[in-house]
Amino acid sequence: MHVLLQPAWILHTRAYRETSLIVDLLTQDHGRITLVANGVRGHKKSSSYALLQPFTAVLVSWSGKTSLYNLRQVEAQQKMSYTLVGRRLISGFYANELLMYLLHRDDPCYELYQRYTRLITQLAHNNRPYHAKLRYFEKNLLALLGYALNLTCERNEQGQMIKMDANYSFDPEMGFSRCQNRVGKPSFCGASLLALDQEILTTPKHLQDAKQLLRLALQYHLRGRVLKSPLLL
Amino acid sequence: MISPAITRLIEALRCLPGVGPKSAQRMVFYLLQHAREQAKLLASSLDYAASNVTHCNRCRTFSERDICLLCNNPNRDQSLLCIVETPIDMLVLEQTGTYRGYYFVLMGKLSPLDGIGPEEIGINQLLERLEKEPIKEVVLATNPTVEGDTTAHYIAEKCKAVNISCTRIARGVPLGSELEYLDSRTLTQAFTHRALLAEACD
Repeated sequence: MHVLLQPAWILHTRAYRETSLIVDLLTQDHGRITLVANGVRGHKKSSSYALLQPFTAVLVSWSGKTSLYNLRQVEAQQKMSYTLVGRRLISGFYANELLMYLLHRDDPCYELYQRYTRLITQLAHNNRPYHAKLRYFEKNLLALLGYALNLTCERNEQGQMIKMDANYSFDPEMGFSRCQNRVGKPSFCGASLLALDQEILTTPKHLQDAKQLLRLALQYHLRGRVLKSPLLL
Repeated sequence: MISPAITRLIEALRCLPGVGPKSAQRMVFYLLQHAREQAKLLASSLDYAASNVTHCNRCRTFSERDICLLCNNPNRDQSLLCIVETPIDMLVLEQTGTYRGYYFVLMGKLSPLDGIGPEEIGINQLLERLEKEPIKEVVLATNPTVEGDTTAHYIAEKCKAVNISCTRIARGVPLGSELEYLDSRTLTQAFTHRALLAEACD
């Protein structure tokens, strides 16, 4: 396999041997891949090392037969140099953690690449709000993985529509059901669910509900793995 | 046949970074043939260091005492605390001779994807120092990587909570390099953080 100048985002890097790196990337047409970048660490080769940092948009060429490819060439994508700071940086790490744990390697998904690009662009612009965009990213990530939330219907047999003014409880396996105000179990307002479905989260209540709901849903698919980035907030 | 002692020594030396079987073999034969005395010295120094060097209780760097020499030096500036990732970073900063305050060594950096959180970098110990000591400025000298920035941001937030001012070492074009050969990210950073030419403005 030999791929030339594929657009990609760096998700994570680990030191490997003396001067090499193992790099995880989200590519446009090949999904998440893992590469070995030989001889890039250390002061002499620092220019490609600087590119191989998380949240960098690159054009990358690689080759190899096994699932651990060899990096052949890396260049910065023009006019895509973003720097995330503060809480936005931690949110970026959160997105990367989700992608690293939930995506299978070498599973192409063009739409996910586009959505991730939009998310990072949003996070990089310090004056734009980003919480809602992060929620849409989580929702769409679940959908693209094949675990889409049905935010418009109840789970019962009649499949009743979600109503704006009702409260619902959520079960990751079953879906939503009308909630009888049971203490201790989180409940979500119907209006929040519909707002998340149409991607028009605006009020703090809607955002809070969406965050809690997606956390529940993602936790289920992470199978008990605890994400570290939320601990930094 | 090579003696088992030699084979064992070759294997042992291979734990060093960058030392493969060939290099290990060469080192062993050199030591045995030409440098017996130095070999004994090496062995005893290694043994002493491995069993006595622990971490300094104040700055967490390597030290064979409870409090390291640098932390014990009363002539340094108590109002400054520099935070670095590793003991080597502390060493190179000391070699420049520009900094006169105390240090805190994280022994790592925050990296959510590697499972390294605040506890692993000794954040509680750092907070304790910020509370007890008369520190006025914290200088963050973590590496200019994304993980280094995350660590710096996290510590800066903690400093803000206790009203201590926080600075970050500058980043940009290395001395003696040429713009043509720089990567675009470094160049962007250098441009964003451009500084006023103080002399020219006077």
